[in-house]
Amino acid sequence: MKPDKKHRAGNYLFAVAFCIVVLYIGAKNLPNISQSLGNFQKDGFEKTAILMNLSYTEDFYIKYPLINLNGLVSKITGRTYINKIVKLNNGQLTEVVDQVEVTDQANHTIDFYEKLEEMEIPFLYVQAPHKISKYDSQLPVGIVDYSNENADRYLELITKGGVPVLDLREQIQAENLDHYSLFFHTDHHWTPEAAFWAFSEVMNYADKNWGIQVDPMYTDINSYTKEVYKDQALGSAGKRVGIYFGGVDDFTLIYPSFDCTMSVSIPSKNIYRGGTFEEAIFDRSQLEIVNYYELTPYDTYIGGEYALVQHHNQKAPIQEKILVLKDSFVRPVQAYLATCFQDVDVLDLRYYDSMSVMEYIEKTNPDRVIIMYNPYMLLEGSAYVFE
Amino acid sequence: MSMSTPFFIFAFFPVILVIYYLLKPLPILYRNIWLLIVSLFLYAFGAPKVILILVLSVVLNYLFGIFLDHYRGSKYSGWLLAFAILVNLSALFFYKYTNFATSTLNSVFGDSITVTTILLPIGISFFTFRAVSYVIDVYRGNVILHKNPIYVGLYITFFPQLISGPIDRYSNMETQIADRKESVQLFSEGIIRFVQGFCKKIIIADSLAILADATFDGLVAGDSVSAAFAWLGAIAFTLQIYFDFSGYSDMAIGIGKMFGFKTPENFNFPYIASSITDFWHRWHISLSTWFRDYIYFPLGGSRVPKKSRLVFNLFVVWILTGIWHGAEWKFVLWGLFYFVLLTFEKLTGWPKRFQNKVAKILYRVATLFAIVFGWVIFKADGIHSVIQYLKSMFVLDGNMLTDANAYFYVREYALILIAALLLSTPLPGFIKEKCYRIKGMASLGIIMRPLIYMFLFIYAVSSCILNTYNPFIYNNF
Repeated sequence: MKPDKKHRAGNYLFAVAFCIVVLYIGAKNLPNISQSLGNFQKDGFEKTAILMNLSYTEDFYIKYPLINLNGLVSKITGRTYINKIVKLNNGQLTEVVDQVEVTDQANHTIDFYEKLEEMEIPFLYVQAPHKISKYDSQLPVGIVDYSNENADRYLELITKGGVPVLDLREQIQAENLDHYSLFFHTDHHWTPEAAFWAFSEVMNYADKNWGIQVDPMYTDINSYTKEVYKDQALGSAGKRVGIYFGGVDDFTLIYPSFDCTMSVSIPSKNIYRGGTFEEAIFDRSQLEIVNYYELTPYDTYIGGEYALVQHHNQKAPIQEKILVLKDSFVRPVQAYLATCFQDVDVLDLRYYDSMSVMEYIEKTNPDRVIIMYNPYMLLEGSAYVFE
Repeated sequence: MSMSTPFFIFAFFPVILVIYYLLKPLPILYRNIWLLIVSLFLYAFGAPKVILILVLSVVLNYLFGIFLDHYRGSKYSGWLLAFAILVNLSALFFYKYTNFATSTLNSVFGDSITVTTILLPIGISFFTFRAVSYVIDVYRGNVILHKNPIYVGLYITFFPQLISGPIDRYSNMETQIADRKESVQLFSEGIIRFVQGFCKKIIIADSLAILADATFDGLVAGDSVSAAFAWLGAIAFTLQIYFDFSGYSDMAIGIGKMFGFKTPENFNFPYIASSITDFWHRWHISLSTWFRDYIYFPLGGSRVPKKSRLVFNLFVVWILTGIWHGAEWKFVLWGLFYFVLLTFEKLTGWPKRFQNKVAKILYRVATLFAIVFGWVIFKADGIHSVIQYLKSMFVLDGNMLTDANAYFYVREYALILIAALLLSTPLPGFIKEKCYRIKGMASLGIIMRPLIYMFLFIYAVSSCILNTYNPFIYNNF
């Protein structure tokens, strides 16, 4: 065969392969279109067209293998930043945070603290760490992150306003902990082990500053059972770049080895779970199978993000009610707090809109109020509106 | 609807193609009707609010064609042509330049005119120029007028070329609308060409867009951009705009081939140009030739007795070329920039009269630098930013020679930059030809080429899915 004929034969071969691929994937994606078309009457032509285009890509057949492929190519070609995800020098994945003005958030926090002071309700602001360490950023040269800078400015302002602060970033440094081992490789969240450590730090603060003492058993990790699920999880950052770019994570469930019964209520979903710690806290559906993209093992704790979660532990060593204003970092922490406090009400101000926090406090009369936020939350204005 | 989205490639295009070829046993008219319906539908799908503008353009230009043909040679024909052009350009002016004109007048006379929001019909510059070329060619008798409105309708709206060109001529399309031969060979070449364009757009242009945007947006945001980073951004945009636009042209040419159409080339390795004149023979060829045939030549072109007239002709063409690219002063400046360079070449005879090879090479390098500066004008956010960006490139903005950003982006995009630089030259084609002459390589190519293209295609789709999709740069033109 002459070269030009061979060239043409290659073209034909590719054309056939292309047609098969396009027709097959096109056919497999047909349900995407029919779903969007179902909303045609409601949304009108223009909106339907935009939504169809969007949902077609979002729900694309073989979307996840394609993301894996893209991540693999990026890894091979030495990329460190794709789809707004940074691969740190130690191989962990995260997002970076822009600079944000924090004065309003700080002023609202100070106002909130002063109101609680008037009501004689002790208050604590717990600064959870960001994935990127303040003392060892591990950022590739050229990538900038302002999470710690934002948090530092915010903490400086509220400290000046007299707000009690527990900065876990400084605790990590003071205790010489390996910052990055506290976090999942492929997610911005801390691990349940780190969350347990944070819980023990809060209890330590409560002991020193509020005079609340509990049996050391409650804060001793050796009093708890660990269930490790190997290669079970792909975090939110990993989901955006695939399993080959930054690997996958193990996931650990930590629950008391001692007797502990409690209940969890999620009013917005009419969910009530009672029984042992594991029965009340864990939604194990996230761990039944390994499905990196569709399941989120981190959601095993509590079951997901909810506006309001109420924990009750009749036999808790501290017969008090605390209110915790939380972000997603708090979910495992609140579970461990519920082993110590009789009632733990947990509000997520990003979603809670039934009443203001102050109204909620007036209604429920908590003994103490804790805010525990990671630096991301400074970007969420609603998380700092308390009235 | 953009041709570079998975929605188009996997949802619409297979249906369009299958129905098209099911109509093959019927007269060609049915396939043309199908393509016209599809073209209007795809336009409406992306821009439902302005579909009437496109339909109106088709109807009016069809009628203009009929009248121009009927009154050809009469004393009214010139006036009729002027009216037809005026109507087309008025629509273009209204939708594209009203806000520019009012904001310019406001800046001169104070805020006396309210600037209204006018929705720009996507691709209006492209389809208006096609329409104008149609009426002029009918007037000149260069084309056969068909009473069947499908002809002009399909010519103006043909979806692969509608929003991103090339600005094909009716004289080229008319014969193909009437009679074209689809073939397996043309179809397979079309697929290859489409995939090449898709990969150019998604893998190269969209990646480089991140780099280019980082530099240009950084400057707008008030960041200090080092000279190295500024140069990197300018080079990235130079390559981005080429791979973006030529990628779309490849997709349009490829899709055309799948339907049996032979569309003229729009690019011919513009960055190896030996001069600015040569560059414009290689860049956006369909636009350059449009201005040449419908503006420059009618004004007298370069065959005018006085040099001042030649300069005037060039001035008109390049002001219009600049303003065609966008309703902003920076595009006027960009047009003037090329007017100055081209006038210089016309008047001096450079580089044609160079005998020395070194001088020719130096001029070629200078040409490339000039093109890069041109793209800085094109990309920057206004004239103030152009000056600031150019100052940054030459360390005149109090900026550093290099910084961490430059290092980061070089490291991240080195492979793409190298690939883009190579693919913007004929070198890969040359190497391929050489390889095919090696015994056994051509046979290996039968398998390897499809595998490589398939990998690149799927990788490009994965990039779309990964949400790195960027809209076509020329969408606003």
